[in-house]
Amino acid sequence: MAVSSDYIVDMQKVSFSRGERLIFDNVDIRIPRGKVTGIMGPSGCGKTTLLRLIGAQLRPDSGSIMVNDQDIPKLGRSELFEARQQMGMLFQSGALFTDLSVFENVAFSLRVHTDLPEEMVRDIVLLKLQAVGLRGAYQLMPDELSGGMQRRVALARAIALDPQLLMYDEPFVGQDPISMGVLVRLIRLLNDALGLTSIVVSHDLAETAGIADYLYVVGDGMVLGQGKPEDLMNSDNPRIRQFMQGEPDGPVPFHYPANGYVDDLLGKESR
Amino acid sequence: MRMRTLELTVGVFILAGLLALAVLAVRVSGLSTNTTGDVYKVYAHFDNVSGLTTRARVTMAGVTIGQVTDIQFDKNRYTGRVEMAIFSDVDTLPADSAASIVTAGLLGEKYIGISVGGDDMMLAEGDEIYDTQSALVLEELIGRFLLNTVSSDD
Amino acid sequence: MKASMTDRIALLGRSGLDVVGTLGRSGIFLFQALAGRSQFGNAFGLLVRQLYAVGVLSMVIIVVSGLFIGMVLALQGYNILSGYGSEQAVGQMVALTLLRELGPVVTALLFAGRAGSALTAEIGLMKATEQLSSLEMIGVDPLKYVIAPRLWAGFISMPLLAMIFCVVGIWGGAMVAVDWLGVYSGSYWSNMQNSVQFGEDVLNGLIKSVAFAFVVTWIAVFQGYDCDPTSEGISRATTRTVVYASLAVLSLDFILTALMF
Repeated sequence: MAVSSDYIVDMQKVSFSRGERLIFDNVDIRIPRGKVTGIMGPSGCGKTTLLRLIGAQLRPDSGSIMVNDQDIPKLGRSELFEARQQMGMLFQSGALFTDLSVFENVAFSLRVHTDLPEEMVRDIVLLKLQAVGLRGAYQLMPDELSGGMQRRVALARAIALDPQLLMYDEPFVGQDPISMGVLVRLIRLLNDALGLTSIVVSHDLAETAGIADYLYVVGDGMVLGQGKPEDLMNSDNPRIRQFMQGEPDGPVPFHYPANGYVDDLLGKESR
Repeated sequence: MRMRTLELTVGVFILAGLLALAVLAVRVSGLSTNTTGDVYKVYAHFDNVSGLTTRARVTMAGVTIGQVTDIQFDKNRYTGRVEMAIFSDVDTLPADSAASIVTAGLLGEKYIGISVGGDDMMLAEGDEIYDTQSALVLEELIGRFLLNTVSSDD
Repeated sequence: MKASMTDRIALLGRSGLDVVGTLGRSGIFLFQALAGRSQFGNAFGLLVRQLYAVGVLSMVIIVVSGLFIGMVLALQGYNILSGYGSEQAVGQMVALTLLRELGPVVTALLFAGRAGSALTAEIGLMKATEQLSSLEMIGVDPLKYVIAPRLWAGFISMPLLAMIFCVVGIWGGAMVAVDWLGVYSGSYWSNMQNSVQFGEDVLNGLIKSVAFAFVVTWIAVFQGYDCDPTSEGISRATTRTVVYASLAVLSLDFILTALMF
């Protein structure tokens, strides 16, 4: 107990493959409690998969994933739904329930998991909406909101039950600079004010490095590097350097693996 | 408020469905005739009941006054024994009334037609109609017709 | 080219495994959705909402189709039967055709097109926009919250719709035969009442439509839940729903008819 209590998530020797493709190969990742941890990597390296593994929407081929000292993949269906009440997840698209109003979206988990009187539900919902600055929009339907506002409502919904762990899946994708700034500030603010642990999965370098206390860089199914953002910036590892500096070519090649260029142009079948 | 109109229309929908089932039961399959109203049972023996089915109509003057409830073979008399349920309010059938099996149209369904007798006694529960006329069998009719033509030629 | 024969056999094997796998998944899916009690206080509200979407919204197409099919049956039946001088049997013919066959079957086909495709698309969209994952992360089982009410709504709605279809059709037939073609209304109805058996015809038709409801709703909901969460995947799943459901209904109809009548 004492060993892992500093870490809310402790993944050890986790392997996961989708079909033939190995996405994680013996990965160890530990998420410190009470901090904002960024998980970065190029597109398609399985960052979202990582969150789904933690949320047990996917099961690893091998390895253990401890969340709050519970081995998540080994839990039964009902225990799992219990455990997930401690987690909040902000999906890439917001994933608001389109047939419910903003208010009902935020109230949803309260209604399902608690027997609070209507007055209290109302107070809590307005409190959460106030935190994301959208209290005035509580009567609207999700499709009346902009993408950035939808994400903020989704954030309010994710914190409705005061989870210990909040996971953000690509929160900055497709946001204009203003809503991006709002989100960055909110993530930091909520983390500190509510005593949460946050995991931010993103490939947006500047924003993520700006708010994260600790960074993991993943790629090719492995953890390429970890540490404080400023340490990683100055890393010697060429792969990390390429990613952090945004160089087009390097250990991660610009070109998709192909036959010789000249051979191709001359029409030689090299198979 | 919106939820309420939703519930209301769904309620109407379910009601309409059940009502449809009721209509099918009562109006289309005529389930009601043997369940509603009091009836009394009357029996009749026919030499030939071919084509008559249970739930066939029993009519008088073209009006339905009951239905056939059972058809069995009487092994002592070698006849078909038909049980009819007559509506209780039709309690003025003379005891010597005649029952015949008739056909509606050329290919139509068979039913029982009752013609009035002149007795002072009325038919009651469990009575039997003695004067009966059997179903017309087309083949027999044609056969008899051919026989007659042949014999008249002689 | 050399390996083409073994390739083909392997392909056959792979698609066979695919089919078995899909069947297995859909069975587990159905069991998990329906087994156990709902954990929601407002389960009734969820069901009502779906009954509205699945049942009430299908009413128009069912009523209109039923009316026209009944009218056409009466017209055709009259033309054929009047050749034998027994046009009074038209009521019996309309009623038996509708109750035994057309009522349940056509309702199921229309239902697959109207409500089934909508169910698939809706659930597929919920999957694509991560609403289903979102429910899971909130600690709500989407099988119980999203799928189960839709399944029940389908199971309940379709038999009701089939009954409505039959009644409207018989009424439409009466309109054509009695009011237009001049069949005596007494013989239209009494002929019908004498030949239609409640147990044999009405109940068997009802049983058929319950079976169709089960199959069509199951296919529609599973296709939505199992689809590729992309716009292309959703559109393919919707098409599959209509095709599979129609084929399943027609083949099941043959089997049930052979068993029943």
